[in-house]
Amino acid sequence: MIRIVTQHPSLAGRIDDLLGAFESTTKPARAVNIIQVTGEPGEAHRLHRGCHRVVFDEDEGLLPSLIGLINQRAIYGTCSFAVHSAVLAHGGRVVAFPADSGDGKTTLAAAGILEGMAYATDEALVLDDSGQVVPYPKPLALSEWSCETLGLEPKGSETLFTAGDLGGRVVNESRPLTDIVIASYGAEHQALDRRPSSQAVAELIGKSFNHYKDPQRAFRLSTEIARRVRVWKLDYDDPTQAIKLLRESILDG
Amino acid sequence: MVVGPVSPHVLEAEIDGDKSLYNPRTEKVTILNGTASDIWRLADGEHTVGEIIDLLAASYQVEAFEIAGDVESAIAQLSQAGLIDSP
Repeated sequence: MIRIVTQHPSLAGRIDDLLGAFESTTKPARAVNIIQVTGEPGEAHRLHRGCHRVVFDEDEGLLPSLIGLINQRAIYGTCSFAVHSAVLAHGGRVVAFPADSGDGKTTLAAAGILEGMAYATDEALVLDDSGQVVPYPKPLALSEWSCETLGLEPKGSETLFTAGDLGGRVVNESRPLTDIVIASYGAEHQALDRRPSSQAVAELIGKSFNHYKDPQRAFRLSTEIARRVRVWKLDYDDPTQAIKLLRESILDG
Repeated sequence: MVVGPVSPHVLEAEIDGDKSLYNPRTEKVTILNGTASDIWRLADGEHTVGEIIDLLAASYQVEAFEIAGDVESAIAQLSQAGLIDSP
C-alpha cells in the first residue's frame, strides 16, 4: 500500500484527480510506503519518502516526481509478472507496446487515447497468473515535445494528464492480451508488418521488470501469450498517424 | 567430442514451429528457426559436430560441405549463449 500525506487541500485534490482511476482502500496492509508532501502555501513544496527526504523545491516538477515515486514503488513491489509496456484497447482487442524508457510508449498511449482507444497503462503490462492484463492506468507524463506533437498545451518540461484529461476512458477490468506491437520511432513513414508469434516471448521477457524473480512463471506466461497473440512491427515518424494505421489495419472491424 | 548436452536450467517451448529458449542465468531469450531447432534437437550429448552435419545433410538432401559452416556457427552460438555445453 502507498499512503500519500499532505496538508494542502488543493494539492490533495489534484493528487486525487491524477490517481482517480486507482482503487482506494481502508483495508490494513502488510507494508505501507508513506510519501509526504510538506511546505506551506506560497512556499516551495518538498517530497519525502519514508524517512528519506527527496528534495524537490520547484512546484512545476513536484507532481511528476510524486507520480514517478509511486510508480517506482508499485512496479518493484508487485508480485505479478510485469513488462515495461504501454497497453491500449479498442474494438475488443488489447494491444501492448513493449519498449524501453524514452522509446515513445507514453506518447503513443496518449495518441491512442486521443484517437478514441481505451487506456490501460503507459508503463507496465501487468499479467495475472491466468495471463489476463491487469490495468495500471497511471497518469501520463508528457514532455514538451510530446505535447506539441499531439496538439496539447505543455505546462512545463513535463505535464501530467489522466485519460479523462485527454477525453478518453480507462480499461477498468482484466482482459486477455490480443496483440503485441513492437514500435520503432524514426522511420521515414508509417509501416506495419506482421512478425512471428515466437517474437512475443523475446519481447515480454526482454522488457520485463521482474522475470528474474520467478523465471519459470515468466516463461510460462510469455509462451502462453505468444501462442494466442498477433505480433506486429510498427515503424513510424508520427504517433497520431501510427495509431490511425494500427486502428485501420488491425483494430477496426 | 560430442555436442551438448543441453544445459539443464534452460527452459524451452515451441511456438508456431519456432523453438523459444530462455536461459534464466543470462536472462536472454533465443528463438531458433527450423534448421537451428534441428541442431538443438541433436545437441543431446550423443553426437559429434561431424555427425550432426552428416545427419542434417542427409535429412535436407544436400552435401555436407554445403551446410557445415552454418551448422558449426549455430553450435558456437548456442554454446556462447550458455544453452549447451561446449564441444
